[in-house]
Amino acid sequence: MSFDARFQQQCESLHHQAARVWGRNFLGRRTQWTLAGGTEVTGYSDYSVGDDPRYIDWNLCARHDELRVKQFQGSEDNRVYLVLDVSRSMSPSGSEKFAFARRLTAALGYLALANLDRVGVLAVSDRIVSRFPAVRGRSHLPRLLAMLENLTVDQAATNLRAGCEAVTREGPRGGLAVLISDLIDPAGLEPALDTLRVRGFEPHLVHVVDPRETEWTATGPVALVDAESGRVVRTTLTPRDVANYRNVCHESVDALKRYCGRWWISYVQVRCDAPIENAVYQMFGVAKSRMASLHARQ
Amino acid sequence: MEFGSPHQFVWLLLAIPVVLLYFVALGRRRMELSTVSLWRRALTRRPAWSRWRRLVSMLVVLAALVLLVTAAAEPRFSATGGARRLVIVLDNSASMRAGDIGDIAPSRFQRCKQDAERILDSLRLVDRAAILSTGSLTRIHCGLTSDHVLLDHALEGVQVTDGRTNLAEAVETARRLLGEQLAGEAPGGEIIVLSDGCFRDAGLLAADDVRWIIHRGDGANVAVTKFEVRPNAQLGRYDYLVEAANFGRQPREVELRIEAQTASEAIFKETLTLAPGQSQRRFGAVPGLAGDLISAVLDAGDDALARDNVARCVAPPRPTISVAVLGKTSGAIPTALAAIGGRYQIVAAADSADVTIINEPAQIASLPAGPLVVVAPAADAPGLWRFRGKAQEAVVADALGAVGGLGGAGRFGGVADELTDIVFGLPVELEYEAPARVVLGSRSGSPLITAFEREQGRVVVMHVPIDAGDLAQHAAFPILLERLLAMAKGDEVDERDEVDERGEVDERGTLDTATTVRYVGSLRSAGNPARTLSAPDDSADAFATLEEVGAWETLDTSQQVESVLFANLLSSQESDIDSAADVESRPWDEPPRARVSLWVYFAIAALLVVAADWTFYRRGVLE
Repeated sequence: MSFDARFQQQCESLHHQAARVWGRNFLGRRTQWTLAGGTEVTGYSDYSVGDDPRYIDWNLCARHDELRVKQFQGSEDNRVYLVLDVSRSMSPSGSEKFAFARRLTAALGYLALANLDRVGVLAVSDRIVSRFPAVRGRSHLPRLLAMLENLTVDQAATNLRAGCEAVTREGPRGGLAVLISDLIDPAGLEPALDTLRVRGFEPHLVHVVDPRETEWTATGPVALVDAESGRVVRTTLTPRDVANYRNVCHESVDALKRYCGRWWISYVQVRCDAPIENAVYQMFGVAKSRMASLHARQ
Repeated sequence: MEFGSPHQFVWLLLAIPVVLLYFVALGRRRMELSTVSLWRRALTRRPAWSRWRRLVSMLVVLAALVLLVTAAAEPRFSATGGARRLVIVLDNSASMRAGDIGDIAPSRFQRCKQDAERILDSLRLVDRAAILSTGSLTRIHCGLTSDHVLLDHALEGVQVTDGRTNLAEAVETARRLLGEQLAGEAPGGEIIVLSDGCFRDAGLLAADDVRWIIHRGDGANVAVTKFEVRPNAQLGRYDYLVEAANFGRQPREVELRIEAQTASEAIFKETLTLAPGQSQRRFGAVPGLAGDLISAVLDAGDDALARDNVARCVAPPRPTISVAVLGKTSGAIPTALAAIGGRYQIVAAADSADVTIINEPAQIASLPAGPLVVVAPAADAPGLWRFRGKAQEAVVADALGAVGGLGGAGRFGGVADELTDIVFGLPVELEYEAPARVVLGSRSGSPLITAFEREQGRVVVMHVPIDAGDLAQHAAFPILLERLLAMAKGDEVDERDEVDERGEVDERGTLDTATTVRYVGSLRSAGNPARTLSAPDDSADAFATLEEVGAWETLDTSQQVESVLFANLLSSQESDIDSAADVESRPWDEPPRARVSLWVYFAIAALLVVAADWTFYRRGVLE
């Protein structure tokens, strides 16, 4: 079984380390300030067009003859949505990407549940293949692991935008969305991320790569088969072709990083042949630096 | 340009799998990826011309294949014209075995074969050749063809034989093969004879259309060139005739031994000093029984052809002669015939007898046909002799003397020497009507044995009675009786009857040209059908060569066995290492043409093409 006791011990260890890094905020998620979500008045702000007139402090207006709006702070549920890509591209022959992504999803789910966050899991390809509704508490961990255990690769192509739209429907109040995928989407990744971003979600990208593809070395006559479309490219590869391919890969990742940097989206690239802990540590580092940047910005 | 092995072009068929590999097997290494979009983007960065490089690579590989196959076909550049026709005649007679010691290595035959291979290698595509061998029989191993593989196989199949050279027939066959090439004006026909030159056909030597390639060494060789064995008159002994010859250019001292299978030591041993080109003969008698193997061995040390230093004969059986005894009954005659040892069989009727003995006939009406021995006739024989009565004095043996005989007989085979201290009975006196010759007579002139010819056979008359006197009791009587029977039967008594066992030297300056046997109708070797000889004229001496070692039966015209001949050597020529025909040997010189072997260049070009393909295509150096 993939998620045995040893795996859970590893997750528990990661949980303790994450608590030292993030405190009670999963992936360093900042406290969400909501105006209507609490009962404790924490301050006032000037009224502006569009503010709810119900929150105008009329007493203060009477004393100072100016419109001030009351601000509240209250406790809220942290929602974490783990979006796992189960499209055909995650499992070309001989690749461990899907198995790795599944284990990483399980580990992150463990950490979030242990952090008393509300955790939901969606397996998406060009549709919702499987879903685990957002729940809170460790008692749901076995069910979550069982759901992941039974997941298989869907033969459909990747459509991350459809998956992200499903996430927004699942969590209309927003939350933290961790997208675990090889980020291979014929329609492009930006529409999917934009969907999450404008709906109040905080996207995190975990880019799972197979070193056999990113560190290509083979030359000579080959037939390159696309796992999703089945298209075949027959050619004879030369070392120069391999160099070009690596450059294209780097350029593609660089473009993605630039986009993420522009919108404060954390991006982590993990190798599928690396230990799960390494991937989580990478996420620790990126999330911590992002949290520090946000605090500095505020 | 021509090709030494054009059949190698069949390898060009490899182009088919090469093309299939390029179009079919190129995608056999399938690699499934998450997406090929990145690869598509990478491949768009290739130079524009690279879309053709796969096709160019395939063409390059095909070009390399063509170059390699061409190199394997042994391309040669030559600048000569017309096609040639060659008939290679390879001498595979016995003397071609000579080699190793004192001669050429590994052997004359192998050297000639190597030359033949060289000639075949020099042939071009348009040339044709045939291969013949000439041992006892001329054999066509391969007709005129330009197929080099066939020619090579044919040449490989030629093996040296024990036969004698028969070059005249081989050259004639070669001329027939060339046919119009020689008869017409078309150039290029040539007969090439590879031999050791052991032949003496003057007609061949004068032929203009024959190129001789002679391989022979200058080593010394001695040989037993003749060895014959026949029954001796004395029971249990055999006469032999052995001839040894020196074919070298230096005098040789060799030991000649006569050995019998049943004797532990050599029966006869003598050291012969043979001058160059000299042959010597030895005659003698050796003890033996029918079927014994008798050998003549020359101990010559290092010799170019050791094979001819030993000759063997099997002692032939003595023929059985049927004898009819008529006239006065006498116990001495059957007793003497029986004492000879079963060679004679007494029969009752003269018709079925080989020889008839008539002992002291008192009345003679007519004599039976066939060979006759008449002992002391006391009556007239019509047309043959008249009886004049008996002499008054008995003949004493020591008064005997030879007075001549039939067939050159001298002292009647030595029997006269044995007839000493004998008192004969009173001889009869006869007056012959036909010419008669006294074979043996007394010193006083009285004939004791007389012989004459008649139409029905020879008649030998013994003038003294057997039963009177001491003759019948003498130990020489059976020998005398056997001589009488042999003489009546017509068996020649040649000079070898006259030699003693010490042998006799016959020094001759020249050698035989062939080992021959007198024509007797036909010859039959053991296990083979009778061979009818081509000399029907009885009056002429016809000769034939015994082509097979072993026992040959001589057959008369009714296919009855007359005698057995034993041949161990096929031809004295085949023992002749140094004495050869005076023929000018012209080594094979290839036609004057500029021949450059090009296969190396083609092979290098193929390697360069493959290297270029690897460098510029596989390694992508140009990109």
